[in-house]
Amino acid sequence: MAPVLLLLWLHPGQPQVVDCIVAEVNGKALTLTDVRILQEFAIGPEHKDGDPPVTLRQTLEEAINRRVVIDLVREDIEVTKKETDDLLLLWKGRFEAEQWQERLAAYGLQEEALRPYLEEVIRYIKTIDLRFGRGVDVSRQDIERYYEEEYRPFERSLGREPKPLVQAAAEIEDRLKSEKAGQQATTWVRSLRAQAEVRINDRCLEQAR
Amino acid sequence: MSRFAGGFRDGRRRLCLPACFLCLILSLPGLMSSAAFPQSAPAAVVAKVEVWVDGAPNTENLERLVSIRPGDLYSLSAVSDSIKQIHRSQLFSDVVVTRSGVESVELRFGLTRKLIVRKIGFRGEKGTSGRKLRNSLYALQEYAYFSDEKLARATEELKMALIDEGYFQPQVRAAAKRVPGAPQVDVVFAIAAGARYAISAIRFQWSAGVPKADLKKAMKTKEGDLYSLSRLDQDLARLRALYAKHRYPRADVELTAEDFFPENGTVSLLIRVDPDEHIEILISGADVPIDLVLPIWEERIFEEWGLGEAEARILAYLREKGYILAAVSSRIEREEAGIRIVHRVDPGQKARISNVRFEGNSHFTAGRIKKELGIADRVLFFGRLDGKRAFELTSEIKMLYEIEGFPAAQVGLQFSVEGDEAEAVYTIQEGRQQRIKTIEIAGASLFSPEMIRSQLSIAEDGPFFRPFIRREIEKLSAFYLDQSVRGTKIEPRIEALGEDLFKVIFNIQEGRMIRIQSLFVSGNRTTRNNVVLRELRVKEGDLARADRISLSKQNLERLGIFSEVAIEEIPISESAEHVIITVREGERNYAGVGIGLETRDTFRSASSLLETSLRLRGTAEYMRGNMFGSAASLSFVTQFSLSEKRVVVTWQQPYFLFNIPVETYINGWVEAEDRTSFAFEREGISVTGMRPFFWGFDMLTTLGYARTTLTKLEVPPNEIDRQFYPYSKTSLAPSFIRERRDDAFNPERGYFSSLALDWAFPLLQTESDFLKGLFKYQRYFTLVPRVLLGSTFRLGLGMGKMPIHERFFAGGSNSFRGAKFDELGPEDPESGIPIGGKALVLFNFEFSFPVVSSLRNFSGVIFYDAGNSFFNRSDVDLRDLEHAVGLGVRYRTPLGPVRLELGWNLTDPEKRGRPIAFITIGNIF
Repeated sequence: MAPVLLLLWLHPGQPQVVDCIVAEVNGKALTLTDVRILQEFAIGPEHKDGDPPVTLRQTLEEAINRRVVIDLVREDIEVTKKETDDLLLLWKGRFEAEQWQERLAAYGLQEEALRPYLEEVIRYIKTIDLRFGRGVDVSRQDIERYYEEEYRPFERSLGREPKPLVQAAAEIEDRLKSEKAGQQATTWVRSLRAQAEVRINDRCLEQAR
Repeated sequence: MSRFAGGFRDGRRRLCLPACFLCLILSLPGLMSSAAFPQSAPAAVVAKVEVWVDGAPNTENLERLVSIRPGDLYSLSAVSDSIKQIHRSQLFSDVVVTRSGVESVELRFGLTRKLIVRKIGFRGEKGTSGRKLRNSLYALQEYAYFSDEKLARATEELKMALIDEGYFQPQVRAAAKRVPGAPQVDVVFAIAAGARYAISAIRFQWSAGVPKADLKKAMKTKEGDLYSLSRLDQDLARLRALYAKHRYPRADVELTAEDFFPENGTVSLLIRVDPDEHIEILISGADVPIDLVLPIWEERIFEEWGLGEAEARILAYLREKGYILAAVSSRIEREEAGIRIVHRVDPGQKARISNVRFEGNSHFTAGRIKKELGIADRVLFFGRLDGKRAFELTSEIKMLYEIEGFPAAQVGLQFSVEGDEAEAVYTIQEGRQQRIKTIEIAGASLFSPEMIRSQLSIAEDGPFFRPFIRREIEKLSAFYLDQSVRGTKIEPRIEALGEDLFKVIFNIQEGRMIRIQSLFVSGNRTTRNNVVLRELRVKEGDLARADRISLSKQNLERLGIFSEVAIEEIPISESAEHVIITVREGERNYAGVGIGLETRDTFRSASSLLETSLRLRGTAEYMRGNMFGSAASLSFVTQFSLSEKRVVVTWQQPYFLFNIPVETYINGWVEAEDRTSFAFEREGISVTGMRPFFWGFDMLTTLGYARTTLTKLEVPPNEIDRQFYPYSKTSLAPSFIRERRDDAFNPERGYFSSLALDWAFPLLQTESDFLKGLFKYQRYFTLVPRVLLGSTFRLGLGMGKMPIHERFFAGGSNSFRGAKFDELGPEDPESGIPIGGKALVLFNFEFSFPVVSSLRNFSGVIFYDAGNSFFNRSDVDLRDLEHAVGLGVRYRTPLGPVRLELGWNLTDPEKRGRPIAFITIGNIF
């Protein structure tokens, strides 16, 4: 009996959940397919090779954050075709041509159908950049502290001689500004999310596992 | 255990292993594919689409909601899009799609219907009334959609409401119970309100400004009272106002500590007050209230701005009082404790503006400027332009010119003063007019340029005013939506063609015409589907015209049975959409009671009121709406007083039989009325239909039967009354009404006309045989703001056998104010009691005016009434009209004015010189 049951359970002819509403953000639905597509294809412009893969849950949370920010901010941020084309190239660049087509076909997608996802990612990044890209100040003391506590030990741990503070200051300042802006953005997004109506359907997310 | 069983088990085991291995081999490709990619198979085709709702196959043809059809290529993104379209309908809280089959795919859409709250109840120690708890709920309401999130929010709202009532740590647990067989839930909140604390001490942490004793005195919350947060918030606001009064407008008052003592149920409060800067305001040279400018300094502001704003307010105040030449200079002096703001006012001479003149205007005549800006010429003592408005007109005239294409227009104001009269002279430098040379429509292919042009208000060779271009774009966008085109983008381009000439180009990127693929109705638990569908002006297959969709929504709202109507359009493809109509049924039961006092005795003076016998007068009514889900209503109204008793039952439905669009009323009544000359009892039944006619008239037609018994006759009965006792009447009564007043209860402009006919004919052994008609015309004018002229004309004519209760009577506050109720017209020669007539002529003229300018709802009135009632039509003679004049006061209410009037009859020698007093609610009609 067990083999028969096993055969039945594994046979693709048995009903399987293929899609469901995994989250609602301000009354709009996010489907499991949306999240899978984003997990499959979407990377940000700062993505580097070697970055760890994101889980479905992480992808969902990021998608929700994007929706919340774009909904609540309501600023008319223009996204040009060139920007979406550039990001699309970045997404394509991770796959061989044949792999890319196979993955699109698996979802029944044409390349054009990815544009709404591309635009959402770009719009989100631009919104964050508009709010936190400028005006973040880093003090001389912060740079010095970072140089002493982080930069020099790290360089030494790699067997390298740390550059003098004068030479490393600009790089450290950029890094600190980026971190500070990121922290401010995260806090802001979290506060926006508290105002939004977000419902996650964990049962649907389980279907993907 | 037998050796056979053991042997059999061994044999089974020997068979199982290869079978499992075989299963594993067979399923391995499937396992690998599902691990690598989501569950899809290239080139799979959809063979079947099913829709299940709440675990059962749907019976409402909901397959229309799914955009995937059998024969389509299977694709996950199409499934995802379908789910989102279904979700946008807002009918379902969850959608799960399952698939079976590899190359021939069967899809099942499992929908979970959104639940509606049927009932909300409260139990346990509520701490306050159920009504207060219900009113505090916003997230969850009866007949609205239910969700777990809303339930959680509602629980928090109840907790906050109990905290506001002074309860601490209230416990609220919510339980939602599904109603079997229906997508509804009953919600019950179990409440333990918690403890209330008494205030043991109110302490202040404060530095200066107001004595502590005054602070406590200003608060309504006292030591010993039960602690309530909402009440304390109001007290903190009172303290802020108190500090503002003591010239600390920026004082910060907040509750900083609450020390609870649960063992004895008390709480001690600490309130911190930071008075901030002391702001002294001195206004010298004129009597201007400080409160006019003090609020400016409540916030920290740019001081120069604050001074400018204060000067503007002071000047506006003085100018309104007639000090049109006033001037103000201001400065700020810094002191140790704060600042002193000094305004030195030179009021100048007080003058009344008696005339308005314009110089330099050639494009507009003076009359046109006055008409556009509502500057009325004076009428007697009224309608003078006040100084404040005179200065405001400068910018209004400038705006008028700008709209007409004069962007550089300049307007100056000077006064020419003689004595205490002044003439306001507006000097206008018009500048050059900018005009539109050509209008071009680019990119439109669905409609002709002429058709699009006809939607515009701007025209070639007309004035150019840039802000109007945006308005024109909105008009064009609305036009496209009304023509069922969605996704149209319109961008303007303006080219200068030389000096003051412009070319306006509307670049239109047209969208697509959309058809309605499916219509769904949701939310109607009681109302029948056909009642909703009957109000729609669109159907499946129609073009999605926005104006018809909007009209459908208005029609549904007009039924009066829904508290909310929403129509959602959900695009499903480039050329099709679903339309979802969601309604929320409203309250169905209404009841009302009114009670008053009345007397038959004549009211002569205040002291005689004590000797007057007063009796109760009242009205009670009950209405049940949306009967049988048909949008009909049933109402019971009863009235009782000294002179009349009445019970009326009315059935009202929005359509006549067979869905004929005539609003229909079926009335049955029993009444008794005691008039001056007679009293009667009557029972009757009627059917009335109402519908818009043509030429802007509404038509009402009533077919009725009534049986009247005279219970008292103070005059000798005439032939009709003697012969036909009791009197039965069958009648057909059409009425035509044209309502063009701005407000039916408090009209200020416009007109009203009506013609009511009553044809009583002998049918089924009834005695009725007469025809009468009453024509009425009313006209209202606003001469200057708050000065009104109103006039009413009534002509009534009858023929045939008219018993006394069908004749025309006149006299009283609503017809002729020179005679008491019913007492104008022919009288019995012996008793002198009115007997009514077959003809009626009435004229009423009123002139109302403000008495106290600050009391906007209170006005005075002088009136002139002329009229009479005639026994026969042939007796009508305008020389026999009686005349009355009078005066009074009235107070405007939303249901019409409360009138107190005195009328003097100028014609009747017996009544001349003696006024008759009237107290009435409502306008004369």
